[in-house]
Amino acid sequence: MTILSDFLVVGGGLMGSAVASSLAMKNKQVIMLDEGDLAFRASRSNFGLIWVQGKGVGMPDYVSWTLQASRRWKKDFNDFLQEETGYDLHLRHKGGLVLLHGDKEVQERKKHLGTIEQEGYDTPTISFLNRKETQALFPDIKLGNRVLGASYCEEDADLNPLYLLKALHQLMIKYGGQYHANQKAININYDEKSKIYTVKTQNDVYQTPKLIITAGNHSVPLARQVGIPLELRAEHGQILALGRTKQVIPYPLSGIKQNAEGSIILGATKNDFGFNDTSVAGLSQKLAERAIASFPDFKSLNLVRTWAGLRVLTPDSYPVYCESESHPNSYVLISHSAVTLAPNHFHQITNWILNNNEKPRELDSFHYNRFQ
Amino acid sequence: MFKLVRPNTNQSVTIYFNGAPLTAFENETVAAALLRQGKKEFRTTPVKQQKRLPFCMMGTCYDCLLTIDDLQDVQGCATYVRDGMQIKTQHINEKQGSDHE
Amino acid sequence: MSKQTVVVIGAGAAGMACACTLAQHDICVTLIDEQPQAGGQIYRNLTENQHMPADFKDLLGSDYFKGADLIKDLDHPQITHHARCVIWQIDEDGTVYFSVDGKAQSIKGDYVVVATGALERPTPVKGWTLAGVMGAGAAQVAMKRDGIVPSGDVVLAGCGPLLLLVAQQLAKAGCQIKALLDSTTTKDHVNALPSLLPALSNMSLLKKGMEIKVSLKKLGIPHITGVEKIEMSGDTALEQITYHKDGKSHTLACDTVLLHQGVVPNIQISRQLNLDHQWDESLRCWHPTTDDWGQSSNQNIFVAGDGAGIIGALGSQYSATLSALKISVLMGKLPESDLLKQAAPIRKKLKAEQAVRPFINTLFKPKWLRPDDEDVVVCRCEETTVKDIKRSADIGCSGPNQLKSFTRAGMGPCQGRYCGLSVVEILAHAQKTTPDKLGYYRIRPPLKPLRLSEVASLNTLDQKDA
Repeated sequence: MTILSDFLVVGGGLMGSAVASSLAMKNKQVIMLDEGDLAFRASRSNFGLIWVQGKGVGMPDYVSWTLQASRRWKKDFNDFLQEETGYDLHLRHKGGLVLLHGDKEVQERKKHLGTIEQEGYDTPTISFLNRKETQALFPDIKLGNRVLGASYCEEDADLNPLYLLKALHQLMIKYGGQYHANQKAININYDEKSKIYTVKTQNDVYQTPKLIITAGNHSVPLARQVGIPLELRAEHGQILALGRTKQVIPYPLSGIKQNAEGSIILGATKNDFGFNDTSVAGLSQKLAERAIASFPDFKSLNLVRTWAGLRVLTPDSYPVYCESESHPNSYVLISHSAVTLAPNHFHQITNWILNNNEKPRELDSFHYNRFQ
Repeated sequence: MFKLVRPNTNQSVTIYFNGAPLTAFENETVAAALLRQGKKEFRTTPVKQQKRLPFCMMGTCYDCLLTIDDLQDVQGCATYVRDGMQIKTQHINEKQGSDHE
Repeated sequence: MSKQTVVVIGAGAAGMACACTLAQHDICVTLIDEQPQAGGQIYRNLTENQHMPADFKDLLGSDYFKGADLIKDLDHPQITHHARCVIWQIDEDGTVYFSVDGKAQSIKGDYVVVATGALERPTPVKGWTLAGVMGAGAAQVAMKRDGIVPSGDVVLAGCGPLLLLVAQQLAKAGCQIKALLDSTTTKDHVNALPSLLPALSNMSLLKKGMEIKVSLKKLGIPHITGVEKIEMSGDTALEQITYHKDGKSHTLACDTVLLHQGVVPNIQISRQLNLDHQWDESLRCWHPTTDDWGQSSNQNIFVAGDGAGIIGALGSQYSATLSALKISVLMGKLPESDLLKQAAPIRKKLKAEQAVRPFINTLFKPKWLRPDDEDVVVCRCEETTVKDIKRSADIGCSGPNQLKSFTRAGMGPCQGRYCGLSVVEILAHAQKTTPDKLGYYRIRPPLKPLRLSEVASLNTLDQKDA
C-alpha cells in the first residue's frame, strides 16, 4: 500500500514530534513515522533538563540558540502545550546547579565556563556558590562533605520529558497529524521528474514531496540516501530512578533531579558500547556512589529502576539542521538536546522548513557542511 | 483481620506500630503480626491516598510497604519482627511530600 | 579463576531439584534465594511446619510435605545455599548480581538456571486494590508461613485449582466462607471435555480435583459457578462484593476477598535477559522459549519449572531435573550417551504432568482480564486506570513501553509484575491487535528494588564495565 502525505516526518521522538505537531497546527497534512515499541529511543531515556550553563564551547551560536529556547519555555511554550493538550509537563524554571566535589572539580568548572564567556555573545549569567550558599538552597537535605559548592544558572530548568513527548504526540493528533508506528524507514528514493520521495518502511510505502528525517541514530543510513554524508555517534548514557520520597531537591542538578511525583533520578554516564542500551551494573554502582557523596541521605532510598539510552551525537555534539543540496525539500534534523530546544524546533525550524526566508540567524552554523 | 490457626510457641517480642506496643512472635513476618492484630492499613498510596494492605504475601507486589526503624519502603511480608522494632504506616503523597503518623 | 559453577536462582520445587541433580553429578552449585529457608512458595516454611500439631499438618496436606526430601537433599557439599538474597540483575554472560545483608555481590555462573516460579495472575476488577482484597495464593502463603487465616467473613472469587484448594483449606481451618464465586461455566466444562482423555494419564491429579469438589460440598461452602462479573466496594476499605450471574446482581458483605485466576510464569528475569518469549493464546500469558531441556535462546541460561510455562510443583521438579542432566553433559560430568537413558523415566513423568494441563487450562479459563469500567486501577503501584491507558492508546501508542512512558503504568516498585498482562490486554483490544504483536514491558534492572547504599557497595574492581 502506498500512503501519500504533503509532509513526511521520519522519526517520532522529541524532534520529530515537535516539528510534526507544529506542521499539523499550521494545517499541513503530515504523517509521522515511528519504529516499533522497542526501538533505541533517546526521547524515552532522557533526564528532562532544559539546560543552558556550560553549553556552547567553540560554538557561540549554540549559546544563543539554547538561551532563546530556555527563555521561550519560560515565556509561553510550556503554557501553550498545557493549554492545548491538558498535560502538565511539571516545568520548574528557576535555575539549576552543577554540584562540585573537591577542589579539582571547582577549578575545572571555572575554567570550562570561562572559555564560553570569552567568546562574548549573549551569554547566560552563571554564578559560583560556596558550600554554605549551596546548602541554603537545599534546606531539607544535607550535602555530602566532599561538596565544596556549585555553579548556578538561573536560565536552567527541568520538566518531565516523557510528558513532553506525550504532549507533542497528542498535539499532532489533535490537529489532524497522523502517527504511524511500526514503520521503520528503510529505503528512500527520489524521483527528479515528479520531485516526489518514496520511502519504503518495514511494512508500507510512503510518498511525499517534503521529507524530514528526524530518526535519531537511525538517521545515518537515511540521510546518506538524500546525499548528506551524516556521521553520528551513539553514546550510552545510564540513569537510575529511586523510589518516591518527600520533596527534598527543589532545583534540578546536573545528574540529580527529583520529579514532581517524588521519585529521584540520577545520571548520567557516558560510554561507547555501540548499539547496546543495556544497563550496566558497574555504572549503577558509580552513579550510586556519586549520588550518596552528593547527598548522604540518598543511601537509604530504594533504587527502583535503571535504564540506558543512546545519545545522538554529531562529531562536535552540536545540532545538525540542513536541507539536502542534491535532494531538494529533504531535511535532516539532529539534536541531542531536544527537550531544551523543543520550542525552537516547534517554531523556528518548522517555519524555516515551510518558508526558506524565515531562516534563523544561527542556522548556517548548524549545517552539515561544517564537518567537510 | 487474621487469626492464628496453630499454636505459635516462639518467644514473644514487643514491636511498636505507630508508637503503640504490640506483641509479636519471634520469626513472624511483620505483615502477619500486623494482620493478626487487625490493622487495617499499612500505607496510603502516593497518587490517590488509598489505604492498602498486603496483597501477594510473597514479596512481589509491594503493597505492604511500611516505614520500619525510619527506613521507608520496607516490605512487611518479607521482613521479620525484632524486639523493639518501630513500625509506622507510610504516607508518601506525591503532592505534599511525605510524613509518618 | 574460580571453579566451574552453576548458579541456580530460586529454591522452590524446580530450583531445589535442579541443584540436587547437579550436585549428584559432582557440579558445584550456588543456589540463591530470597527466603530464609528453602522451599519456594509451594513448600514455604515446610521445615518448621513439620513440627506443628497434626490438625494443622492435615490442613496443609500430604502433597505439601512431599517437599521435605528435596529440602533435605540440599544439604550437600557441592551446594552453597545463599538465603535472604535480593537478586537485582543478571547479565547475558551469566553474571548474577545479588544483595545480602545490605552488601551487593556478584557471581558468574558457567550456566544460570532461572527457577523463579509463578505469580498469581492479576485480576483487574473494580475494587481489587481495596484494603482487604488479596490473592487466594497469598492467603495460602500466610497460612503456611505464619499460620494465620482470615478471621471475618471471607469470599473467594475467580477460578482455578488453587482457588478451590484454598477454599477447602480455609473452611477446614474454621474460616467463615460466605461464598466461592466461581467464573467457571458449564460451557467451560464442555470445552474441556476433548482434553479429558489425554488427561486421564494423570488419574491421581484428576482424582484430587474431584475430592476437593466433593469436600467443598461437604464443608457446606456456597459454591456459585458461572459468575460473570464481580466488583468490590467500601468506603476506605473492603465492605462488600457484588457479583453478577444470569443477569442478576447479588451483594455480600465481607471482610476479606481472595482473588485468583490461576498462576502465570514469573518472567521478570527472562525478560530482563532479553530471552526470546512466546505468547500462549489459551493461557493468555508469555513464557520464555525453551527447548526440551529448558535451554533458552541464550545458551548460558536455562529456565526450569513454572517460569518456563505452568506445569505445577511435580512437573517443575521433573523439568528442572532434565535441565540439570543437560548441563551435566555440557560440563563434561555426564557422558552424552547416558543423557537420554537417564532422562527417559523423568521425561515420562513430566509428560504425564503436561498431559493434564490442556484440560485444566480449558476448564479454568481466566475471564476477568480486561475491565470495561474505565475507573478500574490497572497498575497498583502508579494507580494508572483503564481510562489512562485508553487515552494513550488513542494517540497511537506503539506498545506497552511507549505506554509506560506516557502513563507510568509499570514504573513502580513491583516492576510491572501485576499490571503487565492487563495493560497489554487493554491496549491490544483498544488498538484491535493482539498481545503477541504488541509485546511486553522491557524489564530493566533492578529486578527488585534495593537500597542505593547496596548498589554503591558493589565491588567493581573485578567487574567488566560493559
